[in-house]
This record gives sequence, C-alpha cells and structure tokens, in this order.
Amino acid sequence: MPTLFSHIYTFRHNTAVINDSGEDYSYAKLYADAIVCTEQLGQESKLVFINARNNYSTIVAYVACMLGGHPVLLVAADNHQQLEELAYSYQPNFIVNTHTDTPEFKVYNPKTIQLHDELCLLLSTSGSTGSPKLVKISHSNIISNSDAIIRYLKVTNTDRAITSLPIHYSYGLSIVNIHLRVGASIVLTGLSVTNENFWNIYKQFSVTSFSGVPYSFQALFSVNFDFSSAPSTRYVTQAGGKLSQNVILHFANQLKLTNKLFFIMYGQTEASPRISYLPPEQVFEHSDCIGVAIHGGNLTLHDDKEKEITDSGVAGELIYRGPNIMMGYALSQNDFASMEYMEALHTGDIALRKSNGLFKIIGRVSRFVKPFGIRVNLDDIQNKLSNTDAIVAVTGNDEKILVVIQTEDKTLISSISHQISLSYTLPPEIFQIEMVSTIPRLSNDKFDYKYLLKLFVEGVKQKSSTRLFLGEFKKEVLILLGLAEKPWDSVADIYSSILNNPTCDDLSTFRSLSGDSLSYVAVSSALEQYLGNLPDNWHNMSIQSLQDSRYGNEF
Amino acid sequence: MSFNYFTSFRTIEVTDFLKALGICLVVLNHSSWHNLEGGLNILILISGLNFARFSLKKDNTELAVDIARLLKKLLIPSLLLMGFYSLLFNKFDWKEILLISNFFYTQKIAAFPVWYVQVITQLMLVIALIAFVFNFAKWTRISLLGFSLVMLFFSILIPPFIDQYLSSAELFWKLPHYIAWNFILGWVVWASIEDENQSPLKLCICWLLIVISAFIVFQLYQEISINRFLIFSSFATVLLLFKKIQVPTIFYRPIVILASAVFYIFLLHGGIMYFIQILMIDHFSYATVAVCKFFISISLCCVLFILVTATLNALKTVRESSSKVSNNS
Repeated sequence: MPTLFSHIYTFRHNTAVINDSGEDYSYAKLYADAIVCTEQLGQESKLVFINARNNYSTIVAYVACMLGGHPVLLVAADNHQQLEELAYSYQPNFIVNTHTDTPEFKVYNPKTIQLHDELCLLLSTSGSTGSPKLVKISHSNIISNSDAIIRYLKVTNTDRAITSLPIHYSYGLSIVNIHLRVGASIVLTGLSVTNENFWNIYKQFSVTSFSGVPYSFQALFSVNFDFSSAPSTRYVTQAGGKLSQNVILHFANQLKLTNKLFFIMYGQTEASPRISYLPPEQVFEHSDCIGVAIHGGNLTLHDDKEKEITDSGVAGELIYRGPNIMMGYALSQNDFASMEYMEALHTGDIALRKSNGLFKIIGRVSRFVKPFGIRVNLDDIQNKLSNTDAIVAVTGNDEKILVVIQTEDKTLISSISHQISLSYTLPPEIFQIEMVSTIPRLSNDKFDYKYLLKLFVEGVKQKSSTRLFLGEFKKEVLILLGLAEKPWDSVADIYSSILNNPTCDDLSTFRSLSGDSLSYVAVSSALEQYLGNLPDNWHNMSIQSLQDSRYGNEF
Repeated sequence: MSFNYFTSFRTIEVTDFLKALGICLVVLNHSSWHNLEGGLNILILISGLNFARFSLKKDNTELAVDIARLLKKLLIPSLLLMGFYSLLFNKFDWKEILLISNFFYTQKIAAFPVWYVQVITQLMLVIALIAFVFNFAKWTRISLLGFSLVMLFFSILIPPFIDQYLSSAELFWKLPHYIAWNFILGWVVWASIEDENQSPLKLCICWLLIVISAFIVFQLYQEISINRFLIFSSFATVLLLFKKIQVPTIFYRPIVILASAVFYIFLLHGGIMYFIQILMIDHFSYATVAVCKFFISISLCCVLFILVTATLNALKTVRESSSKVSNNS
C-alpha cells in the first residue's frame, strides 16, 4: 500500500531537516534512521503514540510510523496529563520519547490491537474535558489532502518551511507532510514566532514559507513585524480560525509589495484537514471568505431540508465532499478496526456562496451542541433513534440533550434510554427523555424545537429556581473541589463568566478585560482545564487566539 | 478518569504556587511559628508582579480603572468585615473605616486584621497619583525594566528620609513607603521574565537586586530576623527561575484552592485563631493549639471561599436562566 512517504528515498541527496543549531539531515539519513525504527516496531501493524516535539527525533519516529504502516498519534510532549489520559483510554502498543536525537520506542501495551489496514493517523478533536475522541485518518485521506495542498501552494523541492507551529497540531503536521512529500526541507525549532531568534533562524536558513494561526499574525501585527525583513519568503499561509479583516489586509498589502503570496485557508480535522483556500489574488476584495474547495473536493450548501442551495447569497450549512474525509471517529480501542465510509462532511458552519463562487462563513448550525466540549450532531441522534417504532424529536443545548418521544407506550422510554447508553459515551444525565402524545410542530410541519426546549429544559428551570440553585450550588462546589470539571463552551465563556464581563469579544485579552491578580488563578486554572496546556503568555493572547490554540481543535 | 493521582502531574503557574505557599507561611507565622517570616512579602511581590503584568503599561485612564476595580474588590469585603468586628466587639474607630489607622496605632498594627488592605490601598492611591503626574505608560513602553529599576531605586532610598519625620519603627513598619520597594520589586521581576527568551544577564541582575534590596530593608533598615530575608530571597528566586511547575495531581486542587482563597484567608484567619485560642488554650498543649490554629483556620477559610464562590456562581446561573426564559417568552 502506498504511504505518504513511500518514495522519500528518491530525494536522498536533498536536505530533509535542519535543526535550529544548524545541523542538517539528508533524506538518506532520515530514511535510514526511520527504517531502523520500523525494525523495532516489527512487521505487524502497531498503534504508536509519539511525545511530539519540534525536533528531528519526532520527525524520524513519525516517518517510521508512516513507512511501516503503523497508525500514529502525536501528543504534545509537555502535556503529560493528556498523554496519560489518551494512553489510558486507547492503550497504544508503543509510546515514543523524543527528547534525544534518536527516538525511544517504549512498549506500553504488548497485546495485539486490531487496526484497520487503511488507518494511518489519529488526530484528537476534543479538549481535556470529556472522553478524548480521535479522528481516524486513512493513508488515502492524508495523501490526497497533502497533494491538494502541494498543488495550490505550488510546493517544490526547492522550498523550505519552518516549524512555526507545534508538530502535534494538525496544521503543524500538514506542513511537515507536504514538504517531506515533495523532497523539500524543514527547519525545526520550538521557538515562538514572537521570539526574535525565530526570525534570525528564519533568515539564516532562507526559509521560503511561513504558516501561522490567528494568534501568530496578531502577535506579529502588534509588534509591527514586516515580512520584507524576511526576503526569502515566497508565500505565507494562515489557518486555524478567523483572522480579523484589518490584520489580513495589513499583511496582504505588506506581502504584495514584495511579491509574496498570502493564502487564507479553512479546514476541519475531519477533513485531514484542509477543505478550502482563498486564492491570493482574491484576498484584497474577499478577505472575509474561505475561498474555494481544494482540488478533488467539492463544497455545497444545504438548507434545513437537506436540499442543495444553488443560488448565491443564500445561507445554508456548508457540506464538504472529497477523498480526504476521515474514516470515522474512535472512542475506544475497538474502533480502530473499522472504517466508516462518509460521503459528505457536515461542517456545522453556516455559509453562503458569493456570486463569484467564493464561500463565506457566517455562523454555526444550531443543530450542533457541545456538552462537555464534545461536538454532538443532534440530527445524528434523532436519525438513529427514529429507527425505533416511535416518532422522536431531539433538541438541546450545551447542558442537556432533550429526546422527546411521541408515544403512549412507556416501555419505549426504557428501550430508547438503553439504546442511548449503548450508542453514546456522553454521561447519561446529559440526556433528558420526555414522552408526549403529539410532538408540537411548526406550520411547515417541522418539529418546533424551540418550543420543546423551552417547555422541557428551560421551563423546568423557571418552575423551580430553588431546585436549580441547589443543583448548581452542588455542581459548583464539586468543581471548586476538583471533583467535577466545568464544561466550558469556549474561552469567551471562561472570561465572561469568571471576569463577570459579558462584553468581551474575540480580540479581548485577560489584560484588556481588566483581569487582576484576584481573578488570575481562577482563569488560569479554567484555561488549563479547557485548553489542556496553558500558553506562557496567555494573559496577553486574544480570546480568539486562545480558542485556536486549543488542543485538537478544528482549524 | 481513573489515572493515578500520585504519578500523574498537572501544570501550575509558579505565581499561583507561591501564593499558596506564601499564605500558608503567613498563617503558620501567626499560629505560633514566629520564625517563619516573609510570607506576606512574597504575596506583595506577586501582587506587584501581577500589577506590572496586567496594568503598568496601560495609559492613565485604563490604569485608573484597573486600580479602582482592584480596590473595589479589596475594600468591600474588608469594610464588611470591619463592620462585623465592630458589632461583635462593640468597638468603632473612624481611623479604621478611613483605612489610615496604620499611621496612628503604636500599640498594635490595626484594630482589626485589615492592615494589609489599608497599606495596599494607600500605596495604590500614591501609585495612581504618581502615574498621572509622570505618565507611567510613556516610560514603561520605552523600557519596563529601566523604569522599574529607577522606581525601585527611589523606593529603597526614600524610607529613611521619611523616617526623620514619622517613625516607622513605632508604627511597626506598616507604612506604604516601607512596602513600596517590595511591590515595585515585583515589577522588576516581571520585567526580567516577561520575554520568552529570558536574558541570563537580566535574570542575574534581578536576582542581585532581590537579595540586595531585601537585605537593605529587612536587615539594615528594619533590623529584623534573618529568616525573613532568607525565606523571601529564596522564594523570589524560584519566581525568577520558573514560570510553571509540575505538581502531582493530588496536590493540584488544594494548591489552586489556597491560591484562590488567599484574600479570604488573609482577612479571616486572625479572627478564627482568636476563637480557637479562647476555646482550646485551657484544655490543650501550646503545640496542639498552634497546629489546630493553622489547620482549622486555613480549612475554614477555604470552605468559606468555596461556599461563597459556589453561591455566587449558582445565583448567577439562576439569574441568567430566568432572564433567558423571560426573553424567550
């Protein structure tokens, strides 16, 4: 089976990797080191977790897994808790330490794990709360997506990237993938883009491309960084969330002056991860757009009746089709053996198509909720439960998923409740099951979800404020004692809740919201829980940047 | 998640860790371990560091807003506590209410355990005033380290001059000009560690300043026990060297609670100890009473912090929920 790096020995005379102290490693050396590792892993496919750092050892371990067909997950090396949780949940065969030049493969679980032949890479989608959920990426997913990115960025073996993002982030990993796939080189550094030495290294090794998330660009913007000071740059890419218009235009103008290209990109982990890009020539007039689908992919919009919208300017859910859509989720080790064919990816984003064919995101589909930080598609639950003999409507919010059953048969409640507990790993108390004789509907015959939610979920709260208070009080005490975790929705939720400041926007920082030493501990502890890893300079980072830095978040 | 609480670790910021440790030292010191001094100095250092981190580079209006918000958070509970103690002990003093008793009392620091609030309020008001006159933002944006060093220099030199007119020793050194160097040293520490690529030279200079300034104030000016100098210098060195540390998961939550409840503990532990002393002194040994004073006062303050915070958060949820329902209808 062809793998992403099957052919890299043909680049043996090229430089593959340069570390920040200037040592370079050829493809011949990288290949030889990786082959030594594959011998340690053996012939049979193994599940491998890598303690990932932006260093040569991590690259060797990763390439070895790819070459040997061993499914691999990269976890931030400094996040011991996350690794421990993931290892506990998924019981990998090997955990790789990468603190030295040679990766150390340590046996964690000697038992054989059933792994699907196509399974190549695992990416995490949830934060530190709730069950860690992994996206299963196949060899063909990653190959098709890397080739599509190479195609529009026109990456060749003369290009040189720098690890401006951690390799364990899917965006950081895709930079590694595309450059190694074409025989280009990568400069490895763990330095942040706000560090002066990062740019010294960038210039010293004539790096040709820079990739950043919104935080990177906001940080560079705040220090008036000018890409003309890095003349070797050929193009700059941005993904990882929405970057504010003024920052996009600032850098687009700056890069245009020196004939450099600026790509705004959009993706989701479930799409391995790239979905679309904005052609650089469109960035001035359409900086608010996510652009067009990558080669081989197709973007469409669907209305709430699942009918395709062909008119421009009409909003609908953004649906992606392409060879890079994942092979399903894994919630436990048993899921690694299966492959789910997914024809389309419901992005959960509401978008519209402009008359020139570019897509613009304008919001999120309300049929997704995020209890415990895990994205749940209410339609999926409704469709699955509708296979029973009853009419079922499912709605909810980030605290409760309401299942309303139209039936007189009380035994159905227990059977549906049983089905839910078997099908979903969410805590059972998240689900509220109600029985009605007729489910209320709107004039277009669709279920009146808003009314149902108000009647059963919020109505209950209204009727019994005391009960709600006592319930919330108990929950808060458990959270403060560390016996439960607060299911934060977002960084904005943490800030507005703890700082008591509902006016915060995407660009607000802890500092700009007048956070002080009295609220610092509560916010830092909540962020540590929500993000999994607390960035050093978090109090100066915008809400959006922190949100983007969330481990395993879509980008 | 059933992973091992002893072998797994969680990351905590050093400032939070030292806050927890600092307040424990304060309570230990008051519980009878009088040799353990310097806890409050660590807390003041961290307050100064956080002030530099969050507010010092802001323009005058924003700085004033930050100071006003901070004072509001400090003063409301302190005044409530003073009201409570006034009723309980049937004593009232306008100097306490005006937060200036530290300039008058020579037999004790303050009538109620709020002297720190008095001093920090006075200090913040002076800082706000100086900031308006000299426009701090202008200088801090040029060089936070340079500005902080100049301020530290003056804050160490000024106290002996003021002492010629107002004897600080008689007032237990609890005057804002004697605390200023400690607070401003926090600015210097922050200026030395704020960059990701910390310069070893900056760190060395900062460490020397910590040691020298602490020595001058504690040993030369105040001539107090060497312990305070040693404890303060070592803790401040830790602050300088580490941004985050790993603690076993089992200790993570107690540390977070202690660090979050610092102000509660500070305000209330004295009162709780007073009652423990009355209830236990005739029945138990001195050591037992001291141990009980420490653990009971810390625990009760943390419990109170948890109950108050949980109540406020739960009330907020109920309020939001009812407004949501009324909006929908």
